Amino acid sequence: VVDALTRVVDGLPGLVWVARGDGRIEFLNRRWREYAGLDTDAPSQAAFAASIHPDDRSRWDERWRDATATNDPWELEVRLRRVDGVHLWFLCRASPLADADGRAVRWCGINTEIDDRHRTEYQLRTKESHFAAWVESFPGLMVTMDRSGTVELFSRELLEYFGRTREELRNWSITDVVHPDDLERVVTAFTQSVTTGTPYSIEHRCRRADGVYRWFQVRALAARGDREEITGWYVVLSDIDEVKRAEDALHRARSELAQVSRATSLSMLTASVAHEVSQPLSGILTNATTCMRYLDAEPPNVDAARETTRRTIRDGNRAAQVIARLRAMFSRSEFTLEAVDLNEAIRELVALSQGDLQRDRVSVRWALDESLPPITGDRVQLQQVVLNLLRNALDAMAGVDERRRQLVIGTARDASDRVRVSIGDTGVGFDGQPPERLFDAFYTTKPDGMGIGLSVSASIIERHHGRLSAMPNDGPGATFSFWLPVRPARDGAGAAALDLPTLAAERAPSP
Amino acid sequence: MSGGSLVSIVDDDECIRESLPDLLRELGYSSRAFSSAEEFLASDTVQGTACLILDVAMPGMTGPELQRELRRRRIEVPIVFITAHQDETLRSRLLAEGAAECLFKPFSERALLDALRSTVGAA
Repeated sequence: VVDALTRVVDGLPGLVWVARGDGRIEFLNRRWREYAGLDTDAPSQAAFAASIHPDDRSRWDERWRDATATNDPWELEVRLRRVDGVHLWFLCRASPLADADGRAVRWCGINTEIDDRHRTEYQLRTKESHFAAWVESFPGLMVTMDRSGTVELFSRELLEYFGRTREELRNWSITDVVHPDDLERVVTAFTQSVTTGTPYSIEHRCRRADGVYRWFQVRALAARGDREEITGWYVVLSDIDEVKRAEDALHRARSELAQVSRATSLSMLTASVAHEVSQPLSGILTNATTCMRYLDAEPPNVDAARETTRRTIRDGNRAAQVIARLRAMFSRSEFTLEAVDLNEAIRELVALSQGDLQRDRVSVRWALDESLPPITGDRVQLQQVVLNLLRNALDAMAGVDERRRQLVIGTARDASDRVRVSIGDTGVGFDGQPPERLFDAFYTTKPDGMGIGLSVSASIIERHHGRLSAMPNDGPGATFSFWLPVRPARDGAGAAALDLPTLAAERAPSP
Repeated sequence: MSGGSLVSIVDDDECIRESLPDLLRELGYSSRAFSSAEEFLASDTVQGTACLILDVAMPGMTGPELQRELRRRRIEVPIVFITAHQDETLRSRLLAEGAAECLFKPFSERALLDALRSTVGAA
C-alpha cells in the first residue's frame, strides 16, 4: 500500500510536499528531490530554504507565518532553484490537515510550474510598458483611448502642444480644443466612427496652448479584440497648417494669375479694339470733314453732303457696335453660367482679332459645326481661353515665312455629349518640348512670355468640367483643343441677356 | 474729277476707300482707290500716281511689301502710310525705310494736307 501510494505521489505532475504544522518540511516527493537535487526526502530546513529564490524567501516566510496563524489554505508564487541553478516560477498551494481543535498539524502542498505563463505575463507587461513609452515619445501628437473615448496614453508632444497636465488629459475630450466653427463636423464624424467602428479622418483646427488655432488632420483607427469588438482607439493628430496655408496661397495665386491673364488679355483686346474702332473713326472724320467742305461750297453741294453724312452715321454705328461688344465681354467679372453658342462666341472673338490676323498675314479656315448645341458655361472666360489659344497660334506662326500662316478654327460635336473646339496653326509646333509641360504655370518657350496663359486656360476649362489638350499636327504646327460637356441649357434667358448690347446696336434705327 | 495730282489710295478698309477720295477731290487732288496692293499693281495707275496713301496691314501683300515691290520695279513714288496700329516703333521704321509720312488712323484733314503738301506740293 505504501509503495503504491509512493508511486502515486511521485507520479503526480507537481512537486509534492508535506510539512509539519510549524512549516518544517517532513517529506518531498521524488520529482521535487530530483528538481532541486536533494538526496533525501526530508532535507534540513536550511537545505530546503536554499532552493527558494533569495528574493522570494521573505514572502515565503511571511506566508508561513500567516498560515500557521490562520490555518487557512494558501497559495504563493515563488521561484524555485532547479538542480542546474536555474530558478523557475512555481505556484505553491497548500492545505492544512487539522486536529480536533481546527489547528493545522500537517500541511500538504503541491507546487506547479508556471514559468511559461509567468514569462508570457512578464513579456506582456514589458510590451505594454514599451508601448506606453513608445506613445509617450511618439514624434507627433498621439493619443490612445479606451472604447468609450477616455484617454489612456498620449505623447509628450500632445501634452506640450495643448499645454495640459497629465491629470487634465486623463479626463480630456478633444472637442474642447476644436475650433468652434469645426465643432459640429467633428462631433458628427466622431459619433459616426464610435458607433460604427469605421476609421475616423477629418481636418479641423485645434487650439494650441498659446491660443493659436492650427489646422490638423486627425485620424483614428479602432483597436479590436479577438471577437472583432472595439477595444479602443489609436488617434494621430497631424499638423497640416503649413500645407493648408500653402493650399490657400496656391488658390489665391491661381485667382491672381487669372486676374493677370485677364489684364493681359485685356491689353491685347484693347489693341484689337483700338484698331477696330480706328477704322470707322477714320471714316467718320474724313466724311465729316468732306461734308463741311460740301456745305461751305457756293452753292452748297447738299446731295453730296447728305451722302457723306449718311456714311458718317453708318460708321458711327459701326464703332458703337464694337464698343457694345466690348462692354458685353467685360461688364461681368464673376463666373456666370449661361447658355453659350460657342460658334458665335468664337466668331465674335475672331472679328475682334481681325487686326492682328491681318497684320500677321494669317488666314483663317473655318470648320464650324453649325448644328452645335449650346453649352452651359461662362462665355467671357471661354472666350479668354479661345483668345489665348489664338494668341499662342499667332505667336507660333510669327517666324514662319516659308509656308502659309493658317489658322484652322473648328467646332464639332464629340462622341457622347461633348463639344470640341480646336484651333490649329501652321507654326513652329512644340519644338521638341513635351506637350504636357505646356500647361504648367510659368512654363514658356516664348522669350517674352509669362507662361501663365495656358495654365489659366486649362483651369478655366477644368472648371467647366472639360479638358484642354495639345497635339502636334501631322504637317507643320500644332492643334490645341478642348472639349466641354453639353449640359441642358436653362431657358436661354442668360444667352438672350448676353446678346442684348450687340443686338441693341444692330437694331439701332438705320439712317 | 478735278485735274490735280493723282493720289492713289490702297486700303482694304472700305470706310477709307469710300471717304478719302471725296475729301482729296475737295482738296483739289485727283484720286483713285484700290482694295489691295495686287489690284493697284495690276492697274494702269501706278505710273501716273504722284503720291500713294498706303495702308500698312492688309491681307495678301502688305503696305511695306508693296513699297519694296515698287522700289524693285524702280518706281519712285512718295508713300504716305496710314495705319490703325498706334505703334511708334512701326512708324519710325517705316519712315527710316523711306516713307514720306506715316499717319495713325483716324487722322485729321490738317495732318493729311501737311503730308500731301510736303510730298507733292499743293494741289
